[in-house]
Amino acid sequence: MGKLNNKVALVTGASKGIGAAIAKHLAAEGAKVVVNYASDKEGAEKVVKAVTDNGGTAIAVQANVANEADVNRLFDETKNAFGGLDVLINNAGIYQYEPIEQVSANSFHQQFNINVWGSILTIQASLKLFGEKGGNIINVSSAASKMPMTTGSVYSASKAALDAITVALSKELGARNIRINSLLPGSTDTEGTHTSGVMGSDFEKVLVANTPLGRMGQPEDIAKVAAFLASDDSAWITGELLAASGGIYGF
Amino acid sequence: MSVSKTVALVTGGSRGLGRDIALRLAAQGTAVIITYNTRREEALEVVEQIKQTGVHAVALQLSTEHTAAFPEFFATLADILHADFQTDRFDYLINNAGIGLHMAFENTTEAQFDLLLNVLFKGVYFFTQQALHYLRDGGAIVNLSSRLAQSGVPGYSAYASMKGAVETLTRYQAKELGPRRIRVNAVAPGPTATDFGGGIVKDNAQFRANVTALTALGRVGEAEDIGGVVAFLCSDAARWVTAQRIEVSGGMNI
Repeated sequence: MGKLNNKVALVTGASKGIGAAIAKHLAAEGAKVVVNYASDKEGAEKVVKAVTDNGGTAIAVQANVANEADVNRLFDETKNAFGGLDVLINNAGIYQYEPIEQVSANSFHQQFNINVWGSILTIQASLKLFGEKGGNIINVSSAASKMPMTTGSVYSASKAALDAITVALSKELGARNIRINSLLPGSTDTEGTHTSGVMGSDFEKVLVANTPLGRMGQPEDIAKVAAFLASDDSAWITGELLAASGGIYGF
Repeated sequence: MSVSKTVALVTGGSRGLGRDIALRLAAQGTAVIITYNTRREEALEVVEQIKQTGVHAVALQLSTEHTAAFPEFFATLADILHADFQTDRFDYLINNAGIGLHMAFENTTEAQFDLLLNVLFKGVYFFTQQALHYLRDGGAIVNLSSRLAQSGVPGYSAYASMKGAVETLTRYQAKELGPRRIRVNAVAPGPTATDFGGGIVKDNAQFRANVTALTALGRVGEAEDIGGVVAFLCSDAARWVTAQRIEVSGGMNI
């Protein structure tokens, strides 16, 4: 018995990293989970297998969240599989750290297309699936929204845009009993931070030294907070920006 | 009586938010020590209600206004931890006790200001300082703030300033207690139907209507909306959450 029994949750970008941890944790709390992926089918199927091996229910659905036709298909398949939707977790995102001189139209539009426009598309689609009792949206933002770092101008701007959407929509959708909050992970030990070379670098030491709890975050640390925001324990919280960062970002 | 693995200390636990916080902590198996200032009977009712669920609870008198009484309070607390819980440490401190004052800035007296300062800020500061000797490494502190600390409503300049100070204190505590893996967060309720402010949110229909119109989720807050958030912060689920201010207000649509 979990806190999310009888709920249906859709997690975008859930084939690895934080998204995969969220999908698995929500399923462990009783939710039926749609594991969305853009290209890593194998990763998504591993997540589904981990969920079903644990006695849970999950399906993997391919969709690029920045593509409207893909998003419509993603939500159609969600409806066909589970009949509706209770929780949308906008986790799919990309980042590109580069000096301002190197920022191109291409890198700008890629980051804003997936991080911002993709979230708008999934939110629009979710409104058609949320039932009369309302809905719940969690935008996975980043501590980089509130504390942008050098060479992260565009990425931070995209997450700050997402946070502004969170606050605006909390007011716009509250009357329909739809809650929406941002979850801001700090530096997290994922495939992404390994690939980008953060893990094991001097920069990792700087991050840890500036984190009151004195370590890098783990995907499960973030997933636990996502489950709280998805549950009725947070029923009176909307329009909030909640960091799960070990304190590297203080409010 | 079940043996709880964790113990929480909730100040001002006889009614309102503190009562709901105590009940929610107990519901997840945490034993609870609540304090009351004057309402002993109501505090004992909360204790009885918790004990009936098989979780241990104790009520102690405390006035957070009087720092001189804190050493004796903690001596008593240490005795109770030893006798009732077979430990010398507790896990969670919830600084909830407080009083309200609605008074225009230009009419607020120095005596009113000092009372709020002592109860809401100086008391919290030094009570927590002394509590650190008994708080387990890896535990958590939750400081109750208020929506009012961030957004102005006429008549709460002194109250809201003290809560703003508590929020700043929260940030510093999170930094300084991080090496002990003690997490520190603030919870900021919006207008909630309790006895706060003479029960204006609970009892005044016009005020309720005004608050409802400004609340995204379309009603006023109830005490039961808050306890679950504090219980989350006092659990492993929040092991990576520190230095945060969480507003629990249903979203203020302004």
